[in-house]
Amino acid sequence: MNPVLFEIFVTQALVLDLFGVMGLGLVAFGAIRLASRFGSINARMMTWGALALILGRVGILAYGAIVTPANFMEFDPTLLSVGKNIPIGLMTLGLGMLVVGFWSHERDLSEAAPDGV
Amino acid sequence: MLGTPLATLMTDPLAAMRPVFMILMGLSLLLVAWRLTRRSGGWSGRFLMAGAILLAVGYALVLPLYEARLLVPISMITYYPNADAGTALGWHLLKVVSMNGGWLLFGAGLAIMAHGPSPLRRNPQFSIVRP
Repeated sequence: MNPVLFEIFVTQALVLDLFGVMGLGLVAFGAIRLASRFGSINARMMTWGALALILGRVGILAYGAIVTPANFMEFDPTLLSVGKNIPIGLMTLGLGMLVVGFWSHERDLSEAAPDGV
Repeated sequence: MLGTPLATLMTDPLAAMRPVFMILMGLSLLLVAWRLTRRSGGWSGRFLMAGAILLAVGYALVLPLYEARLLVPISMITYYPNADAGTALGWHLLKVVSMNGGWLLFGAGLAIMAHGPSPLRRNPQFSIVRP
């Protein structure tokens, strides 16, 4: 395989990263749809979590595109720390909000229609 | 290399707790998706469950191994001359496919589930509703 194409599509994983961001967009779309249909606070929390995950993911991708192991000595260490830790914090927060909202949504559904007869 | 996580636990406990958080969240996603889809058929449940399994593999297995410095990232492979490039490429592909494919399948399942009719656990005609 062409080494440039190998770097773009396999080691940098351009297409798969695009699929991941599209999937997070689908999560946000589904959560917005759930929130508008049922008016639940859980789906709204899932929406905010998905938005935070999208922002953090795009920030991490931008950080990886700008800062490489070859040129990271040229940047200010404080700036590097801020630029890396804010997206990581956003992704951690968004994952937590998404999981809590998903769990509460499932609990509401199972309380509305319990399966234990 | 092996003593790095404990040293991180002493100096930066928030960063050291993040893999634990990711393991808990990945397993919670798997558990909740299983509870949500165990009574419902159809493609939304299948997409959601496949995505949750991939995300659980990514969040509970692959990302903590990278955080523990037990795996070499593919971008740092030139700085580790003793590391095997094929192994690093395989773990990198597993990480990329599980995380991105997991979010894509999970989001597709959630979007289909939110778009379609609301899933019913059982036939409501035969269920006894709790007071």
